Parts: sequence; structure tokens; C-alpha cells
Amino acid sequence: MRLARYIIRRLLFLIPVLLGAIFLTFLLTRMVPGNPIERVAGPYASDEAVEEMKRQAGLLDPWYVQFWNYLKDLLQGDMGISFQTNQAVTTDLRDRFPASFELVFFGMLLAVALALPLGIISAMKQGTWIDHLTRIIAVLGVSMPIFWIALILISTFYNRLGWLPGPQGRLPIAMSPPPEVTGLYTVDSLIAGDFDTFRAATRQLVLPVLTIGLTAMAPIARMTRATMIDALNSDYIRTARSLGLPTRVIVTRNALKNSLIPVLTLIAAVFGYAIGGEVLVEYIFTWPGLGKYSFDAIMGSDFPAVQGFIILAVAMYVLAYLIVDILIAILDPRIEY
Amino acid sequence: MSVNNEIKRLQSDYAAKRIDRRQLIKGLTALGIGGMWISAIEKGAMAAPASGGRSLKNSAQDAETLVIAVAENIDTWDPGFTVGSKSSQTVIQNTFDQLTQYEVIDATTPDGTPYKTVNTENIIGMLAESWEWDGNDMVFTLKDGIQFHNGNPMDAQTFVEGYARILGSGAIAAFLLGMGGALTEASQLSVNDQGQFVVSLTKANPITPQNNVMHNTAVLDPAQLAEVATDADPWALEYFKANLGIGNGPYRLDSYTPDDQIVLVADENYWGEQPYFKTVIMKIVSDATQRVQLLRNGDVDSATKIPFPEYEALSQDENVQTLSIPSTLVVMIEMNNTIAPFDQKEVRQAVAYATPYDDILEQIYLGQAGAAKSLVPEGMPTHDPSTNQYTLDLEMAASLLEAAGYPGGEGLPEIKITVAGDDQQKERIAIIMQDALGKIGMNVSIEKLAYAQFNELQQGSRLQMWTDEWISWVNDPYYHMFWLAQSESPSNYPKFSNARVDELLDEFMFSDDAEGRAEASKEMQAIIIDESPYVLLAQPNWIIYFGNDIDGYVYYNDELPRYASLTRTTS
Repeated sequence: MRLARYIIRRLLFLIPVLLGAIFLTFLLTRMVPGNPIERVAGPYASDEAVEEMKRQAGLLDPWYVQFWNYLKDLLQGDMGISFQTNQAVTTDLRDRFPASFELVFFGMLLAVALALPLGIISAMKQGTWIDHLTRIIAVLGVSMPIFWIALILISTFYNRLGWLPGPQGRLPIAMSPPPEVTGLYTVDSLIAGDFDTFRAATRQLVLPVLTIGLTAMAPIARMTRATMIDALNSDYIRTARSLGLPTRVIVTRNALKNSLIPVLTLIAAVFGYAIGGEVLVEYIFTWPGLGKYSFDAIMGSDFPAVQGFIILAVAMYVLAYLIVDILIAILDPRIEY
Repeated sequence: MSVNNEIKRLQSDYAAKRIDRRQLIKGLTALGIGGMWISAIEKGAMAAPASGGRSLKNSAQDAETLVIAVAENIDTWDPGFTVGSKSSQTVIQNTFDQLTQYEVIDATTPDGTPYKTVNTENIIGMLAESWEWDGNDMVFTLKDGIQFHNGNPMDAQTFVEGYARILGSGAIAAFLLGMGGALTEASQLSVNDQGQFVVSLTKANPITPQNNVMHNTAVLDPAQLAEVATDADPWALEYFKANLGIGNGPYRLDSYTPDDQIVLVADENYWGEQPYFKTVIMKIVSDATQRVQLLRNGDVDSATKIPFPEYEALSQDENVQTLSIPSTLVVMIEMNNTIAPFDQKEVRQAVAYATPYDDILEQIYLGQAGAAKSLVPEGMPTHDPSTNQYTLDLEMAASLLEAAGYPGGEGLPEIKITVAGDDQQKERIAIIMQDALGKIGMNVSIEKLAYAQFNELQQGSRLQMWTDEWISWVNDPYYHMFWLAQSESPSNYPKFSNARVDELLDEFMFSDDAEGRAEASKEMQAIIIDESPYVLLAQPNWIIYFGNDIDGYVYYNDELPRYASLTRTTS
């Protein structure tokens, strides 16, 4: 019951956060030079035609009138029409979200699956070759630009070896997507019992997921190593050792549980960043997700699309933190909610 | 990117003193450190599919499916309004036919390669069986059996209603067809007693028939228009912006997934001959490098918007055929004639004399471009390079700058050369110009802006100096100069204004006096060269990239591919 109240309180807290984000985004998009209308109108359009298009789009109104109109529409679930796609922004976001989510979800899954064992082993075997190797991998993962990793992977596994498909998006060219249930092709193809599509979708995911996984893994592994070292050097672990508890139990039940709290917070931050921030990965792999949509929207001063995207990204970010806070509250009995 | 090319570029930049020794060493070191990786990527990129000819790698692709890697999403589906996205224009061109088209002819490239192109001086029927002038009227005799994909027949009344929508909705096509006031009112459209479609122009002229060939004049099905129009939106602008109308061309739209693909299928109700390719997949791949990779690996049959530096490697790839065709595209430095210091002719001429034309042709276009010697490009009637006196002459440039009151560049205001978006070619041109102008004491900084911001400033004439390009869809010098040099033209971004040019354009644009037009065109070209609102840099070739099993390409001067003419040679 107390947990439910806590979740509701946190969800209510989302409202002022979103309002603040909407207001800031609105101001920023209006302050930055650039106007979508000239581009949409094209070189042949007369000044009068451009003014008329601006008037129709409401861009000639004072900013506070535009903001109020936007808020009113937003409350009715209307984020406006994208200047670039001519579709409702809500439709655009809904269409692209599953692609980004699928990519980031598997990328983060891979990152966590690699980072936690590496960080733990590295902490337990400090100063050994495996520790050095983990640290080198972590440093490389942090310092190598993500587009560089993507290009190396494409060059190696697509161009040279031919083992994996190239940057063709979520499915091979000419293959139809499975009937939509969740929008995640791997899941939907399994629901439809279409294993060919499942295999194809999985193969398409491998390289971009590896790219995200390798990049996201680095900070998580470093954090896991650092917090595990702290935990393993703490008094309660020394006590546990002196009581003769086996190492496996000490590591998994005592040290890891305590060191996971900052790691979980970091995972939430990395996930929140990745869901909207993997512009380069989506761009290079021709992935029809939110990253590329937001990039095009920003470059084209597509105000409704930029605003819609930021609202979604803020909501995802806050939700990721909420989930982590709940997990931490469950993990750490000292926390009251 | 190629390591060797980058090293050569660094060396030439150092030799030309565009970079100092420290920058050279820094660049070479960076290439050295990254060299192994770059080399790995290059080797990977160069790795051709196994020998034995190109094969369809994609198991889901059959021989009658054509896959093209394109760069852009759809921005509008309304035929009358497509002016930005090439994907939109290409879809309209392939799903709608027009009344008329250009005659297809054989031609050869300067290196002797045969190809097919169009004769823009001979307009023949498409949906029309034939057309002719009757005084100021254009009279179209329609083909029998033409229809929309839904089976609705097309007759002269269809065109009256279709063109009425174009004129009434303020479409781009209305602006083009209405040039010179030739066609502005729906009352100029009619059906005569013989059932022919008649367009009564205010004056017979050579421009309107050419504007009438473009995809923007495609007509919508009046029955569909009536269905989706509302009282508030009688031309259904909102509907057709977001939905493709029922077409009448060889293909119809099957599906569109933004940022993923556009699928066209051959329409079984098409009135004409069925195309070879039953399905065309336009795969949207934003990154040019990835479009090249997909082409080289045989995953796509063609790729568009390939950067020039890729030409050399692709032309040597046995699985790829390239065709480098001279085009009328002109790349220019534009200067705002209303802002100091470019409001002085001498300063603009100084820039023209300080420009290293050969360096730009060699370093940016790798020999795949011709010199641009007049605002009216080579390949367009009446092109006259004879008065172009500009060659790289720093002494002349310096003396002109001095004559303008800026000896050695002293007293010049802060100058910015602006580049749009992530156009690497234009950015490199800006770097070359920055270096070149520095030699006459003109210190220029480079400003990179997002496209939307660039467009806003350019169209508001608030830029000082910028890189740009222009191609005219109508291969006529008056059409071309109207857009670029007429003082009131919306795309005369440098705000060039010359009373004599305006007078000649006004007098001869719609004249049928061929000799007078040619003379006046040459006079205007000479004035524009002398006034130098634009520094004319290059006429880059139009380069086509196809898998080596694709045949039948025709180059149209609007640069839009017609998929119905393509075939695959299967062994």
C-alpha cells in the first residue's frame, strides 16, 4: 500500500517536470533562429505565400498565445502536425518508438549482461590481467566514439566477412514486418509464429545492439567495479569473511546487493539517454526510430516534432528513474517511502 | 574517405599554404594513428562481392524487384506542391503521367559513352496523343483509353478540373504555369467541340509548354477530390499533403514507412505498357556512406546522392556501372548585392578574380565537372562564355579591392561565408574560398547553419556570402535568368538588380522571336558576368550509379528517374 502511494506520488511529480520541460522546450525552439516554413515553401514561393503559411501555422501569433494554444491541444492529446512529415506528431512518435525501444532494450540488456560480471570479476581480481583487460575495455568503450564502433562493426561483419546484414533497417529489404501487436519485431514475429521473420529481425539487430551494448557497458562496468571494491573492503564483508561464509555467498548476497544501488541509478541514466540519444546509431544503421526523427526535426526547425519528442524523452527518463527508485527501495530496507 | 586522398589533400593544402606545418604534422599524425582502422574500413568497403557477376543477395528480392537507396523521406504527396524532397518528386513522377513529355534521344558523354536523354526542344504527347498551337491556345488531343488506377476514365473535362485545382490552390505548378501571366484563371481552360482539352494562354510562348511537362502538373481524379474536399478546404490540400492521390502512371504506391522505405508496385490498370519491374523499393538510407556500402555489396540496385569522392572507387567496381553526364547544374558563390562590401561591383569582381577555379574543379569535383563560364550554363540554348574574363588573378583582385576603397582589405567589415547543413562539398569550397580571399586581405570566417536556419536567412536576404547551386527544370535561358537575375524574383537571393536585364527579360521571355531572344540572352549574360552577383564555380556532372545488370536509364533534365524504362539483364 505504501509502495502504491509512493508510485502515485512520483507519477504526480511527473506533471510539474513535464510542464517545465514543455515550457523550456517551447521557449528554446522559438529563440533559436530558423523557421520551418521557408523550407517547406521552397524557392518558388512568394513572400505573401510564405506569410500566409506562417499565419496558418500560428507562427505569427505572440509566443504566449502560441504556448497557450499548444498546451490546450496537448491536454487533448494533440501534439500538432509535423512540418516535415505532415503527420500528427503523436502518430510519428508512436510509429517510431518501438524501433528505438527494441534497439535500446536489447542494447542495455547486453550492456548489463556484460558489465556486471566484468565489473564483479575485475573487483575480485584486482591487479590481475583480467582486471586490466576489463579496465581497457571500459576505457575503450567510453573513449571510442559510438559512430566509430558502428563503422568498424559494419566494415568487419558486413563488408569483409559477410556474416551479418548491412545497414538496412529493422528487416531485410523486401521482407514484410510481422502483424503489429507490440511493435517490437522480435516479439511480434514470435507471437505470429513466424520464425523466419524472427531470425531476420534478430540478425538486423545484432550490429546496432552490439554498438549500443559496447558503449553502454563501459560506464556500468566501471561503476560496478568501483562500488564492488568499496563493498568488498567494507567492515560487514570482513565480518562475513571472518564468520567463514563462502565467497560466492559474500559476493552475491552481501557485496553485490549493496553495490548495485549506484549501478542501478547509472543504468537508468544510460537507458534514459539512449532511448532518445542514439541518433548516430540510428542514422548509420538506417534504423527508423526516434533518434533520427528528432535529429531531422531539430535540423528542420520542426517545432511540434521537437517538442513532442522532448516530452516523450523526459517522460521516459523520469519513468526509468522511477523504476530504479522502486527497485532501490526494495533492495535497501533503510529507504522509507 | 580515403587515407591516400586525405594525405594528398593535406599535402596540397600545405603546399598552397592553406595550413601551416603544425597543422600538417597534426593531420598526418592523426591519419597515422587512425590509419590502421581507416584502412580496415576502406578495405572492407572495397571488398566486392564474390566474382562471377552481380547477384541478387537479398533472398526476398526477385529479378523483377528494383531496390534503390534514396536519401529522403516524403515531405508532401500533393503533386502540385512537391518542390523539396526528391523522394516525393520521384514518387509523383512514377505514379502520375503528364499531358506531354520530352522526346527521348540518344547521346554520348564527353568520353564517348552512349546514353539516353531528352530533347527539351521537342515536346511530344504522353497522356495526350498530340498537341498543337492554335493562335494563343494549346490544344491537346487525348489518347483513347487513358484512366486512373481506380478505372475512372480521363477525358478533357478531367484536365479542366485538374488544372483548375492547380490554379486555384496556389500550387507551385500554378506559379510556374502562370509565369508572365500566361495562365492564371480557370476560365482559360476548356473543352472544345472535338473533345480536346484547350488551354487559352494570354500569349503563345516557349516557356509554358516546358513548364507543362513537369510532374507538378499531374492532375488528380476529380471524383476522389470531390470525395475528400470539405467546405473549409475545397481543394483538399490537407488531405493530399498527407495522402497520395489515385494516380494514372505506371506505378502506384503500395506502402510508405517513414525513415524506412517507400514501395511502389506496377499498376495492373495502367493504360500504357506494363513496366519490367513489378515492384520498386525506395529504401531510405540517410547516411551516404551506407548507401555506397549497400550498392557495393549488391543489396541495392542503385543509390542516389552519392558524394563525389566516392566516384573513383565506384567507377572501378566491376559490380557497379557509373554514368557521368554533363548537366546544367551550376554551383556558385552568391554575394548579397545590398550589403556592404558586396554592394560594390568591384568587390564582387575582386572575389571572382581571387577564386581558384581549377583547384575547385580538381579537388572538389575530381574532374567530374565542367567550368561554369556563364550564368546560362553550357547545355542550355544561347549559352555564351565569351565575355567571362575571370581567371585566378590575385593582382587584378587586389587592385579591384583597392579601387573599391579597401586597399589590402583594410577597412572591410567582418565577412562571413555561410554553408548550409552538413554539405561537405560546399564546406570544402568555403574553406578554399576562405584561403583564396585571405590572399587579397579579405578575412572571411565560415559559418555553418542548419538547413532551416540557412533557408530563413537566405530567403530573407540576410546572408552576406554563401555557397549555393541551381538547376532549372526548364531548359530555357529566360526561365533560368528569371529565377536568378530578375530583380523581383523570389529566388534572386543576392538581390541583384539591373534595369536592362529586367527590361530584356520582360521583352523577350515570352517572345517567339528566336533571333531576338538569342541576342538579348547574350547581352544579359554579359551584363551579369560584368556585375558578378554570382561567382560561377562549376557545372558538376550528374552521376548515375547502378548495379551492372540494370539497363534502360534515361536522363531527364529534372534529374528524376523514370523506373518504367529500366530493365534487368538476367544471365
